[in-house]
Amino acid sequence: MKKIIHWLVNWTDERTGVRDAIREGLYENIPGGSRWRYITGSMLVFAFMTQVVTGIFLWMSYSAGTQNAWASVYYIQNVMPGGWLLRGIHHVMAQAMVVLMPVHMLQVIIDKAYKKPREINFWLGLVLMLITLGLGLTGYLLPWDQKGYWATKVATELAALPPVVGDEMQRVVVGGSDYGHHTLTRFFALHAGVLPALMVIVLALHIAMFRRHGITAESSDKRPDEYFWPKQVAKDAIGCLILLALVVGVVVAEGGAELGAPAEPTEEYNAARPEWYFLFLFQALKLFHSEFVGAIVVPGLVVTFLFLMPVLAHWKYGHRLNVAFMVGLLTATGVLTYMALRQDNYATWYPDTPRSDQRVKDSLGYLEAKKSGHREYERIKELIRYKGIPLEGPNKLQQEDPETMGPRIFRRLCASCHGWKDEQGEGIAGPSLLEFNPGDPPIGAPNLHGFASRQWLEKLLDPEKVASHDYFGATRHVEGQMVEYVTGELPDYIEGDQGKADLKAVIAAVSAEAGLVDQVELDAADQESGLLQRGRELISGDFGCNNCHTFGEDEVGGAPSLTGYGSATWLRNMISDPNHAELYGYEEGANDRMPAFSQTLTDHHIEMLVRWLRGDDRDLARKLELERNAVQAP
Amino acid sequence: MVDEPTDPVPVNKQEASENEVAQQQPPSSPGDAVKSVEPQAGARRNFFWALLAIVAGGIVGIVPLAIGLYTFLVGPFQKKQTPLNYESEGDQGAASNEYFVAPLGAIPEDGMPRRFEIVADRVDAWSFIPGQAIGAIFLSRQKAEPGQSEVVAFHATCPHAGCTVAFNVDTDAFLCPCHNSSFGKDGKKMDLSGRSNPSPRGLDKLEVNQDKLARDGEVWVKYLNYYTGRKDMKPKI
Repeated sequence: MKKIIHWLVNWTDERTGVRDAIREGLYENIPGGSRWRYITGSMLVFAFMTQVVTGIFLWMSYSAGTQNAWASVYYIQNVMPGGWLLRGIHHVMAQAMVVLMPVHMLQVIIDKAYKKPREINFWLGLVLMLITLGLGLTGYLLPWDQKGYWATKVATELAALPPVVGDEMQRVVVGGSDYGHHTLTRFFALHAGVLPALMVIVLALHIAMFRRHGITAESSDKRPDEYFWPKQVAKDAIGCLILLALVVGVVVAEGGAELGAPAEPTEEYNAARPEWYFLFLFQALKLFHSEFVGAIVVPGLVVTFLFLMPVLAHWKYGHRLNVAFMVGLLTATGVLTYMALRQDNYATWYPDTPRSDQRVKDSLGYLEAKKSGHREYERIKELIRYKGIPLEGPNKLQQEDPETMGPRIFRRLCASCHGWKDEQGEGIAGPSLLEFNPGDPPIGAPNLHGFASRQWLEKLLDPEKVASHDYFGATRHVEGQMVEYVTGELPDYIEGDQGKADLKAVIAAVSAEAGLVDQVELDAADQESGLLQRGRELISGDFGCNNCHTFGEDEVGGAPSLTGYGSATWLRNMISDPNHAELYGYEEGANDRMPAFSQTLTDHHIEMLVRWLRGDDRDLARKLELERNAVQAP
Repeated sequence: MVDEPTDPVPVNKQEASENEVAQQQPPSSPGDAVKSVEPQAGARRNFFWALLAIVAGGIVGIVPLAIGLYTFLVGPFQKKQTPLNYESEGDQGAASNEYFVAPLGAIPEDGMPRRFEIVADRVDAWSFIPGQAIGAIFLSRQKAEPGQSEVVAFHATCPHAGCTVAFNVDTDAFLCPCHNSSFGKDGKKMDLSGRSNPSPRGLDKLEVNQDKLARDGEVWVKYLNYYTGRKDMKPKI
């Protein structure tokens, strides 16, 4: 066996000179011996190789194109065995590269390894750094999720800033005037083809040149020399091993790289931020009043200075200036990054600051957008589980989903008056009523969370709550007959046990009109027990609701109808046109400030709002079960 | 990689001398240097470092590749997941592989085969495409003896190399356009003059649901794809 191997090695060596090559590679002399601080270069090479390997395997499942990009990444992340780990390593290792690069650079500068005759190699290193940043930028867009889409959009908008050729440059980068298939195919080709190929070429030159100059610099070291093999190799390998362990650790702890909700060009994402290592640039943009200065001139000057460092080093104090500049640059980067994070997280970092503070408001806006983005992602995961991703892409699923579209429309059009929040205050905040006082011109409207449910009606008919901000408190109806009735007549009536039981029956009867999905069993039980029947009698009888409200056969029309109250039809009418004959149409000016949305919203959007308010699609499992029962029943 | 050192570090004398011993003999070949475990402390230390380098280097080299290979190799063997809303839509679907093809009346009475498409919900990696044509079959009537189906169904895929056969009226046979395989109306291999017949087996006969045929006059076929190029019918599941 040994003989065969020996023969094979000799045979190969005779023809290739592999022995000499290995000897040259491994028996490089290191003046002063191996050191831990020499490992950063090897670690960077290892990180890049990891990116190549994981990237190629990701490529095997990735599909560039606006319908497929997000879907294929979703598939990698959630369906493909081990895909989350693969993508996670690719994602975190990229960040590790960005962190390691300045460390490597700092070491090179401090060790004066950028001085003559190594200027060109230093420049090659800078080029490698720019390529790495380019890889980070192009890779961020590829999942085609909200954060990547909007963050990259900002970056490509900036591409139009340079004078003369700016507009054309942007068009070339984006692949047309708008974001689309070609933006993805171009970014993908850059990310997986052009930039890595450039990287390999420049890296090869970088290493070759490094070998040519040898490792030595003027060494005042008294330690003996060593060969590269085995001690330095071992140190390099251990460094790489620790890096890999850290990266895998982060990936496992975080459950893989984050994927946002699919990109939606018409749905702005207010939490769009570049990857954290670009945050300093993002923050710097806020400091300069001209984007051209912030995004082009200043970074351009910094990079120019970096390129000039080896030249400056000839000057007596040049080296010290360079070190000072590097330290200053890294400090500034750190401070800017911190500032960006602080602004975004101000509300959580300084919880004692009053909410009226603009910094808190800005931060809450960011955090809220982030949270709702997260919710949309969780929601679409659920949608995919039940419906699959159609050929039109994931946006189609969202556009037909009330739980996604409802809140979007509500935020845009309804939330200026209405809130939609549960008892804990979670949900969509309506207008801020902190400074609203009774008697002020009305600026609010009822909180619609759980509208027409038993709980919602209980509070509406609660003398203590009917005039609160969650109901009519901030509307003109606070002086209307309903509030007068609930606070005036009703308390006497519901004082005793019988009165309370009657109120419960009335609430059940009104609420059953809505036919809410959440109350199907409750409605059936109350129907069975006769509670609904009793409630209906009371509405027209002792409670006298039908003095104003139409109910069943009693057509009155002095207030919105209770027939089908909270049902899909009722809500559709209310949103389309509150002055509908059965709603506020009974009298000119009866409607407070509710606009008719039939002009503003499409029928589909109104439908989405209605179904969301009713919670029809909230629980897809339940919806499916109810549908199947309905099919079986007749 | 390694860069130039500048700042001196105090050196342990003994360690230094050990290293010198190790370094004093520039190896004639790398292999010798690694292998020669001489009873010297320096060589032993070198061996330790070499081992460390190989183990750590091996791990960092293999792990990313192994994870990538795992995703690449295991994924294709994973069972496809049909969305829950479509999972139990009657008998139509992936669960039973049985699909409605046509009413009996759509098949010519004279025994001439007719081509039909199988329409089914299709899961294609991340996409879900309901009601898509997923393949084709030939249906024909035959004079049924007791216990035999009145309708026969053949997969339209040639068992030789997967091209799609067509029925040729002139020769009264299924002909494959790729490598000249020919099959009779009964699906069996057939020798036509001037055509060699490389197919390893006759056309793949598919199971027709006899209950539904007798009861509703509907043709339901158990549609599966089979591996080509072999004598036996092995379904691709």
